[in-house]
Amino acid sequence: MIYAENIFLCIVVPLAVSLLFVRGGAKRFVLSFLIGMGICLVGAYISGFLSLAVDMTTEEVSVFLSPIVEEIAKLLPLLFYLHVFRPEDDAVFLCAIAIGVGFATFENCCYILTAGAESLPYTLVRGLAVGVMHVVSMLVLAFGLVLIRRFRVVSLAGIVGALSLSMTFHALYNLLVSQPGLSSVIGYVLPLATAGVLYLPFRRLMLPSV
Amino acid sequence: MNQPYPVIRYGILLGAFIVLALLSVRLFRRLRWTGPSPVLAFLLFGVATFLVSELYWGAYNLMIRDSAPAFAAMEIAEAGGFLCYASSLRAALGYEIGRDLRALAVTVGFMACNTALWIAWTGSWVKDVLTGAAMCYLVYTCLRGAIRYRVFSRPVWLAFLAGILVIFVLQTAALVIGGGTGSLLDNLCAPVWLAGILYFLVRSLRPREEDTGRDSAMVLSWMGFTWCTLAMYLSYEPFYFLPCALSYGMIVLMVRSAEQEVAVE
Repeated sequence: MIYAENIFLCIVVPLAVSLLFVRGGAKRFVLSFLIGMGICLVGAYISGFLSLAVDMTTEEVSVFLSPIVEEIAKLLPLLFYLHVFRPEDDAVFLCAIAIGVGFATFENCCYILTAGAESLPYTLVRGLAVGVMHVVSMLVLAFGLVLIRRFRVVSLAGIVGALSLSMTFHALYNLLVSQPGLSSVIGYVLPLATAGVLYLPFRRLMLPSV
Repeated sequence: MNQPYPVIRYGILLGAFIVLALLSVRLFRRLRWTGPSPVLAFLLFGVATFLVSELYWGAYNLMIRDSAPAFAAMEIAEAGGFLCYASSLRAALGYEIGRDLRALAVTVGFMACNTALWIAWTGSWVKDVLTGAAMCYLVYTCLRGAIRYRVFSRPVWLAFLAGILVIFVLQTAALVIGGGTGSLLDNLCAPVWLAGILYFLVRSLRPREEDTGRDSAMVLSWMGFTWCTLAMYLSYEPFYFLPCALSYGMIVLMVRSAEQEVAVE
């Protein structure tokens, strides 16, 4: 048993104070990072509630429901930012990545406090797999939102399309790592490989605005 | 639990994965990141969503397979894919075309009947309503396109109407009667939906002079995909595999017609 709220407060307070002294992109990054951590906490509450409500085991929830809950929760602040502030593409990617990193950081903190940090391979896997997975899923989401905005057709269909892509990617990762063996190895490699694949379109998309 | 027809099942899954991966790469290379037409962008999203969904489904089959999956991200991916395909066709048709209340009413009625039958078979309310709602937009967009470009002659419209009515009557009877007779009635639907698939395949592969490189070619391939998907949802194995495999063929035709449409633009 860990006290996730206490850990959350412990990490949030210095970052929140730092917001008073940073500006521009750094401020956006820190704020989005904090939002990502908050989403992780809220997502855990909702998934916990759902596991009781629909009578599923923790593993079933992580394979079937958590990706849906977490990706929707991560989409909402990004959508709010996009519609209310109408930021540049760079800023959308910055916020999306920061939300993903914040989410992954808080999740990793809680897992490592639960399971212990004695094993270096385990901590590396957590960082390289889960950590990168949340960043990649947010990148996919940001790609979708930026792309449909560029074509000036911000529609529900486009948003759901982007969301479903990131959600299924997340669910696929959770499914692959849910069992030991070859599948989990593939699962651990998947986020890094996808990040590598996404690097090319990211450069292609961002170059015209540089 | 051993699944029947493993060779066909995994053969289609592997084939679908290869086709969707190749199409994703092709669409990505042809995509213009800015411009007036998001046809290819939406299509890329749809194909990529189906690709990830196939991966999830394949992994689920290989790893768990002892029970049908609960409501999962895969269902949302499928619904999201339908919405993206519909948006792609909508972009090709042009945003200036308004609503058609008659087409909308027909679509809602048609999809409500489909969804009711799915729910009666599977009992999965959330999953079926979600898929039905997404398909509603796809069917409506196809119907709008077919009306706008006069894709079908009057006899063909009437033949489709008759075919759909026959399928609904047979399916409902199969559901009510059940058992061996129900199964027979269910199988009797196969020639009807197969005739529809063949019609769309022929029209898409051998387009008429006036269809080539135009929106009507897109409408035909989109309708073919929608028809295959609906046929797949109402079929049991082994009949299920045919529309399932052909739906991926239809996605190839969709990509081809969309590329021609964008080239004309």
